[in-house]
Amino acid sequence: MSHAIHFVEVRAPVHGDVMGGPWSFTVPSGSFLAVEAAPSVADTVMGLCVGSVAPVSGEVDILGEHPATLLRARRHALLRRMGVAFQREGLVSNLPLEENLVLPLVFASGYTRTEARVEARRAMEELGLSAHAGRRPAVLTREARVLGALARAALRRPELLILEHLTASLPDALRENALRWCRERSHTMLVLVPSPSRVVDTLVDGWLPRLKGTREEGLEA
Amino acid sequence: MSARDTRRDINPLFFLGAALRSALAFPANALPAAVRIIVNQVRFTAVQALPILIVTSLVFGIPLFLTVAPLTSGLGLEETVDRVLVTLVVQELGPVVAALLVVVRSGTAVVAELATARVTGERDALESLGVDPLQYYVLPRAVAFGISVALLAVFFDAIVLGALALGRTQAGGGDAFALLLRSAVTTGDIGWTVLKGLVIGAGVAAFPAMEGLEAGDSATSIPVAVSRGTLQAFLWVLTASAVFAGLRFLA
Repeated sequence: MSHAIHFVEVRAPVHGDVMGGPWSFTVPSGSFLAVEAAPSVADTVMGLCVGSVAPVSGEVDILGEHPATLLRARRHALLRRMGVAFQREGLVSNLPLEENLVLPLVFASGYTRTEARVEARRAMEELGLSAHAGRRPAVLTREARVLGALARAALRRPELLILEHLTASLPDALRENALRWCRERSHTMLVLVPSPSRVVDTLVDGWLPRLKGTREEGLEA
Repeated sequence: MSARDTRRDINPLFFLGAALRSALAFPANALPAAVRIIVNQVRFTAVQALPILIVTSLVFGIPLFLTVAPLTSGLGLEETVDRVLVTLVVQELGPVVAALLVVVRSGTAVVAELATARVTGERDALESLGVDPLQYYVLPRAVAFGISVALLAVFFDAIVLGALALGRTQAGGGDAFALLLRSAVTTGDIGWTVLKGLVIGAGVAAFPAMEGLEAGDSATSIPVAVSRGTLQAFLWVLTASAVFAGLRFLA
């Protein structure tokens, strides 16, 4: 497969019934690209990539599949080939950080609990999160939660890793280390950023054209 | 406002079908994790509910005896009425009261938890990593609720029948009541109570879970989901109990 992500003239609602797009871009397989997108646009693009949002027009191809058209089981099978981290982190609130990393490995990637814990602990050590292993997300710093969400997404070495704005709040040095760590673990990687970043610029293979929304509701066209 | 703000309408039959398919495809390596969830849920739903169940059982059992005893005294109807009461308690009241207690105490908690998981993005984040929400959030709870309702139903029956026995003993008819219990309550009756508890309990988990998982993305969706899920669970308890009664009548 020559591409991991392929959008062709895609339009989808970004703010109520306000349409965003049309978006057309390709993320070649094996590449690490970044794209600038406003938060609501990024939210919609992420939804299109994981199949929770269906395009009003155009075509969305993720690893050779059209996510929004897949039945449940097939869609879950596609998502297991991917790693995704949303801006809202989405860590399970009643589980300690280590268990948050273990959960997808066990329920979605076929790991036994013992194997998953080994992987999770190694990742936490590499990202400096070991001290937080037994703590729940509510008592973690924003940085620890962000790193935890990144670790959870990249831990199983996905074919495609997509990050939504997540690292924008990290200090530059931490952001660079986190992105490098994720890159080492993913075959193809796409980072959505709210604004141009020097840190991201030094790491990526290139930038996609900025994803535009519309002039309405403050979304810049 | 995003496209996912509004609640998605759910067809319970589609949900049931999806839940069954998810159950059949449950990953074997995740079974130990599911067992841990089940054990924790049973501890919260059944074990921690025992004190209130005991109070509820006594509140049911004592007035039951106090009401019936004067009506039957002197008429020679004690055995007949007691047999009806015992059958009613074991076959109907036990599972229904236990299930309603679980709806009020744990069903509301489940739908609030799952609706909150939806609002905070936790559910979407997990599903985007390929974790089936039905396998993680719903199925273990359905099993745990089934076990809990069955256990609580048996406890309820034991306490209420115990209260009735105590009342009869004080009135001088304890031996007769003990004999009646042995003839009126068979192993099959207890098995039927347990089966009823398992099925009704699973539904008590499923309906709130369904509403919670499909709640909207805003905080105001949470109380709406709790209200809908609790009401649906309540109706399920009554409907399923009636169906079981019908099946028993026809059997």
